[in-house]
Amino acid sequence: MAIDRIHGCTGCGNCVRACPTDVLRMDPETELATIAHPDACQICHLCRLSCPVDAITLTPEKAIRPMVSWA
Amino acid sequence: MTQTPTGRTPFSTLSRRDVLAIGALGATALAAPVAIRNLGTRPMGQSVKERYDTDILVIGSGFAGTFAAVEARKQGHRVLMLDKGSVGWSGLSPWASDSRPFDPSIYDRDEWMENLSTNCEYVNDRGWFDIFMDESLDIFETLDSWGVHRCKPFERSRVFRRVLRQAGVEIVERVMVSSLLKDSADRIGGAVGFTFDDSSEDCRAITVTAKATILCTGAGAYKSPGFPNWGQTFDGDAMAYEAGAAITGKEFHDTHGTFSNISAASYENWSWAQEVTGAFIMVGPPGRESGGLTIESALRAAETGVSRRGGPPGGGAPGEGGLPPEFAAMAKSAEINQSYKGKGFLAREDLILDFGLPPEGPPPQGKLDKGYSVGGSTAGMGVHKSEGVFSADHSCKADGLDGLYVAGDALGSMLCGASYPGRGFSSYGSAIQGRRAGQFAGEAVAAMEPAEIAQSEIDTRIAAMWAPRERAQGYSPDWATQVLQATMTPFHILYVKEERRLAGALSSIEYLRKHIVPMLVASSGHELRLAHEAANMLLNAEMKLRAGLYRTESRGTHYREDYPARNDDDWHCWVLMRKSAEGGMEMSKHALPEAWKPDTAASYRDNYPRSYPGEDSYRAARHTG
Repeated sequence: MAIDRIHGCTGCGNCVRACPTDVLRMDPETELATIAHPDACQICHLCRLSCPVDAITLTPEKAIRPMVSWA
Repeated sequence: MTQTPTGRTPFSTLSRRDVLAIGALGATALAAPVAIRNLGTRPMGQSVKERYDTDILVIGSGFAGTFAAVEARKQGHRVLMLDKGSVGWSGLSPWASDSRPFDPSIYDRDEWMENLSTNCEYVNDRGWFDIFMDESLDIFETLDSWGVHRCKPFERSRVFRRVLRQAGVEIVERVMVSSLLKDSADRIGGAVGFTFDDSSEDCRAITVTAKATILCTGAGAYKSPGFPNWGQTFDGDAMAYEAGAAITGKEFHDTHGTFSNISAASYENWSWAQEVTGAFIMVGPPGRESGGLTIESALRAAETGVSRRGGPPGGGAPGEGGLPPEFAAMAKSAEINQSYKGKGFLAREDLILDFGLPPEGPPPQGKLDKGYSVGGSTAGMGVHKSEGVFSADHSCKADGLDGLYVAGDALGSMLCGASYPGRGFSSYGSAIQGRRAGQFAGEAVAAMEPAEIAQSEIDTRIAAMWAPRERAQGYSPDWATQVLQATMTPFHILYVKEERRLAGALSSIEYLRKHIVPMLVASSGHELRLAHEAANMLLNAEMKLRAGLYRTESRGTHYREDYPARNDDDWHCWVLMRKSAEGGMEMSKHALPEAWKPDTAASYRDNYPRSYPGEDSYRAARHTG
């Protein structure tokens, strides 16, 4: 699952800046952080560590979809 | 005080004293699109211009970039910093915790040099290590004055940002630089890149013209399929190579372990680094043999497979709590190191010190079954401070290329030669090199006219940058990356090497570079970044395979089954590669000073305490044949 959910976000944007792999973005309508590219999560927890309200949940497992086709 | 770059070439029997400087991818990608993509997003609150002109462009904001930018500003130059992520959050810097400052009041300089050179197998640059021993204590004091020793590693981002702002460095974040720019005289005069945040508005091209550019872009790694890889993607090495720089050190590799059930979980394998508030100090000299980042785990995997009994990385049964050999050596070192406590800078009462006891694997997390220990979590990552852009002196200037300076893990300084000599050299090495790059680049630009970059050059680079999003069909960067990972990460390619296997992998990588890279597609800013990263990783894969084929001996982390011994007569050198006029990869040897060779009066095994499988019989056959 890697990055799992964001609950209680206050919209500070810290996690978006902290993520080294562009997993998180700010939603322009809600102005809250959203998980935009979960595939890229490397489970480094920098988003969680940067969050002032402990809103981010991660799990250590990561599912890999099978490589079923060419390109 | 003005420093003079010390020459690497031509080498004579230079005295060390003479050269003292003064001073898992996780879920990959595949055919199906990801569930959430291209959400409308807002920019991160920064106003990004399309065009910048500066004196010195610094790319990357870890230890190397921060010190480079601050030093260049001290000379009064305009400094612009670009980062693919955000200050202090990118690459390896948010995890760097170890340090090993050299305190001349308590340590023996010759012992450090001898031990490190033995550990790094005599292809380490002794000039750089002298500089390290001269300057590392000052780096320690500088970081302390910034407040680094009162926070955890991830909290340094705030420190770096404050220091950069106070110095007057202009910072532009979340921009991926895709190419360096050259003027009509082939001098590097800036770079082009793109924003990837505002996908609702499409990406924007950023052009920076600069008198000098300092690459502080960090390391690269492939990681295994399933393990995220996108933190480090060799961007600097790739851009510099394409611009004509020589690259070195690509045959030597780092090894870290992980756990089978959670092999993608970076944090669980590295959380100990974030638990240290203060200075995580490795005291005492580096060991002659230990270091922890040798290829033992790959050799064990090749010979017997991995232990399925669990335990910490590298071996040990569940419940035993035993440490693998390299960690056991660290434990012994840490015990010895306690004898230094209270001496020199270690006597400071206001400093929170941690003396570098080894990590013991991830902390307990409920009933998490982490599985058995496996290697390969950093497959293809170079030895810290070894692989990267070649500089012919210690000024950090790219050899044969004006206007380009490099520092940190993007610089092939060979500070650590053929293997990582124990913990504590990487972040301080980056800081030292960054500061020198800032200094020498600053001195160089003082006499330079602004770079005049032809608009056609800018247009060409930007067109190449956008190409993946212009294509109607082709291959996803995720697919290319996963094929790359599957090709490069098995232990029998980059760790237990042999000519036919290297050649086989090279054939596949060449095909990917020739046929897939020109057809990569991107449907968003995020994917455009991945496309360029995949191309950079593939270029570096070719370098690693060619360097591995070229060095027909074994040394440090470069083990060739078909040449399982060191060969000082032919290979006491660095391997350089450079893009030829025809576009091919030109290989060459850069000879090292005779004085750096191991002691001829000592036995082979004294000089090279680590042994490879098959080494003794190979050497015996060579000597009798």
